[in-house]
Amino acid sequence: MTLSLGTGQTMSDDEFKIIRDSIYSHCGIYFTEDSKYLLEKRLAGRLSTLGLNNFRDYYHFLKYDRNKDQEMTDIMDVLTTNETYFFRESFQLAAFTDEIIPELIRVKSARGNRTLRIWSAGCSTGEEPYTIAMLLRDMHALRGWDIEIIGTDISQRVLQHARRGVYTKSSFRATEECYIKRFFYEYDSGLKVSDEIREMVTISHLNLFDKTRMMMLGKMDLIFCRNVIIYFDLAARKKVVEEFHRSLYDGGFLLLGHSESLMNITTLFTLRHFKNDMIYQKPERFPLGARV
Amino acid sequence: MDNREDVRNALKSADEEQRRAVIDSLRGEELEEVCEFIFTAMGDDSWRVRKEAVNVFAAAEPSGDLIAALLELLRDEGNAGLRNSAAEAVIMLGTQAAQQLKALAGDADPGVRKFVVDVMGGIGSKEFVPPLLSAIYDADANVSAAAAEHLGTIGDAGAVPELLTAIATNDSVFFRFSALSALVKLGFPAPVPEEIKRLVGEEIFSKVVYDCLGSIGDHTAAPILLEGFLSSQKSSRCAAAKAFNRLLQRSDARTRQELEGSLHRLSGSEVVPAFIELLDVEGPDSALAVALTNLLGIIGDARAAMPLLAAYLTERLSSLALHALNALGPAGMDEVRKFYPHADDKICGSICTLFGEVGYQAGDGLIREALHSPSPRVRKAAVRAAGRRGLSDCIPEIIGLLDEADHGISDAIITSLQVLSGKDPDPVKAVALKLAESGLPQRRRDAALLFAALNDGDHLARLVKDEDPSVRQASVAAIGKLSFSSLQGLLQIALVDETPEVRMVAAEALGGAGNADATGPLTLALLDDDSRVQCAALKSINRLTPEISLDVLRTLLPTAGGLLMITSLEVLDSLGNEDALTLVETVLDNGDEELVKFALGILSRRDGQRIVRNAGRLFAHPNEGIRYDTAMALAALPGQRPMAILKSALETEENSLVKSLLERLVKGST
Repeated sequence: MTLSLGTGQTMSDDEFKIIRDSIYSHCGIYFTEDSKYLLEKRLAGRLSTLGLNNFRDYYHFLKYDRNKDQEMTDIMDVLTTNETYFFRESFQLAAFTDEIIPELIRVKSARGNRTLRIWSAGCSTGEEPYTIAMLLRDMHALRGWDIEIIGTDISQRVLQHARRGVYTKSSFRATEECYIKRFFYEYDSGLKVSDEIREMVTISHLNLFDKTRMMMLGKMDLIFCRNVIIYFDLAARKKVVEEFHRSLYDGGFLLLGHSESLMNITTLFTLRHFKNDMIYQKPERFPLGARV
Repeated sequence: MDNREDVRNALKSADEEQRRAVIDSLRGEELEEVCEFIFTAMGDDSWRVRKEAVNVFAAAEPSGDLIAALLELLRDEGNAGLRNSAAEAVIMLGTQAAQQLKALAGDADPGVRKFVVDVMGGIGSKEFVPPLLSAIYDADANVSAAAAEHLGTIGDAGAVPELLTAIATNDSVFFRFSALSALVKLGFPAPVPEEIKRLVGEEIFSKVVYDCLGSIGDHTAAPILLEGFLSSQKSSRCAAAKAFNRLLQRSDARTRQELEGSLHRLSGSEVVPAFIELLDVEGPDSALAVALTNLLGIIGDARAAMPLLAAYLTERLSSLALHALNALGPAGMDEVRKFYPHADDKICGSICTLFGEVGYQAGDGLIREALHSPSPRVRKAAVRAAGRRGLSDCIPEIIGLLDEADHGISDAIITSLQVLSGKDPDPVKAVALKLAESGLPQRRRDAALLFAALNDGDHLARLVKDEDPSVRQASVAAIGKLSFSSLQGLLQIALVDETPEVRMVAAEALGGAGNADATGPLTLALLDDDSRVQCAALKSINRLTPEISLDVLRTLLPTAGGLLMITSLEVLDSLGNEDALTLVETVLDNGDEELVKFALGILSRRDGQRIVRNAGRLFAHPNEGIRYDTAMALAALPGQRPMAILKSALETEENSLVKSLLERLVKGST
């Protein structure tokens, strides 16, 4: 079965499978048979840009060309969905600020540790890590703490946007006015995140399939990875979630999107029932006060 | 040889190619059998035929008798081609013919003796120094002059005393020229002998004597050379100046001070205009231009300011002229300043740069004025000069030039502001803050450079997060240079930046600013897909935790290639211990010949016995360059064993270049 394109190029089933598998092995993003049209549509522009005749040639380019790595990096920009906004999934953020952070403060303070490392994995254009920074900025209990928020994404295009920190109306659909007044200023027909918030956030490139780079980020207290693993198949989800487990300190938290769960993926995490949401936690090997 | 008559006839053929071919066909024949034909061909009208004959003879490894027969050809007065061919053949035989040559050195025929001396010089072995020393007393001036000349070529400093004596006793002009030239080549510093001093007064010898003193004289040559500065002949004045400069270069500090004192005393004398007249900054004699520039600076006469400015404007003399102009002091700079209103843009810019470089205080006003020059070139130079002079009052004017489009000037502005930030940080910080907000990445990069100069880690930490990779790169580099250990976390995150240049700089910076905690991330960075990042990470690991470098390298070496392997070898070289050198030895098996050569170089410097140990496989390497380098490395080692290996390698070597090297090395040992 083939689908026609506006450009006249079509992707055969075989071409779909081999290109899909190349993308999957690069980054874990999995296109089901139903998504063939989507893949074909998003990659059609690459054929004309590269001057290739058909998707078979494009597959060969991805596999053998000396610029194949750059191409794979570039197509992440067209293959990934980047739609996001500030203060998304407020109920989960409430659990974060009202329950998880206080618990982390209590546990870490008891250990004499006043650092907090939070990773927004798949941060897209940066709304999520900046939201986290805004929420933590005014928490009195965190005064004097060393807070590090790291946002990563596989798409280089969105990273530039995130680093620039300038947003338009659609990013503020769930943002209370007080946050806009407090942490943004007008800039280039948009609103720019203030320096005090940008200072708290570091944006970087990361392929969640790149175990080495993930290790280089160091250990985290909390990982936000919302609406990202839905693009992965089961094996890829398992691989990525197990890496998250390794990246978290004992007792660290993993926050997934509201429609995502670790059911059938892994039993490495404990599901904690908070008042505002259910959150996954890496069990403490040696809980505070326990005898070793 | 089946048909000698055919060969004889072929040698009489009118066809040059037929004559050459028949000689070539004699290769491999018993030399005694065909010697007659070869000697005939050595006197052929055609140089191609003669050349072929010489080659065939030398390749046949002739016996002593045949060499003696060859030398007899030197007596043939009627055929110059034959004599030259014979001489050439003997030279090719080298020291193989030494015994017979020495025997002929006392021949009654001066023509033969001359040829013998020339052949000895052509072979160039020190074995011929004694017969050549005898030959410098030969009654025939051609022979003695040739002997003197060849002693210079062979380069045995032991010949100097004999040459000096011979100069005194042999009054042949030709001989004395040759002997003095030989002394120039031998370059053995010594008190000026009376024999040489006596020759100075003879105009015909003055140039060559000054040349000679430039090579062999010690400080006692200085008065003679000082007199030579005003010699009536231009060539002699030039030679004296060059010789004095050479004398200065090779003197110890105390002597140098004395010599410089004697030059200082020439200030105000006629020597200065004489030197100025000789100084051609674009001329073909660069040694002369260098000497005059240097000497004029040491004399320190302000009259030399403008000629030295001309030298400063040239690429080859610029740095030397700067030194010389600096030595002239304010009086010299005053002369230059007077010229400024008459100078074109290029020279005005250079004058500003010069004033900045030499720190000429009276030129500050001119630099300030030049900041407003209509010429971008002059403004740019003035900006740099203001920075170098530390003119912090110029900061507003310098900042005012920032909007100029020319990148060259903005670089100069930033460089100046970096320097001036130490004197007056507030206005520079204000500029840096403004630049950090610019929409242009180049400006934000400039801001990073200024924040670095201001030691402002907080603002650098913000710029590390910039959307433009060049800004991140500059900021990361600055953090590394300033050793802000508190920002190590940012540097570690930069190791996963999407831009390899940023990752590379981060890996470097961690080596400078990081602590041992950075070793973990840096070890992971060794897996980066960009080899420059890997190399930077390896160097930083070695810098932070040299104690683990060896373990890291043990893991890395089996798979490393190219640039990473070169860096690994550099690190092993810096470690230099037994374990490190053992790892270097493993690289000798690598398929990349450049890497093998690199490893060979390290072992050669550090522990040559390891090359001895691996010589078998190195001489079996398919790459001739490696075999060549192995031979060179072995030749530099003491003891009998390396030489025995070289001899053994010579037996099997097939590559002509390597074989010829091995032959030379083996012969040198004998």
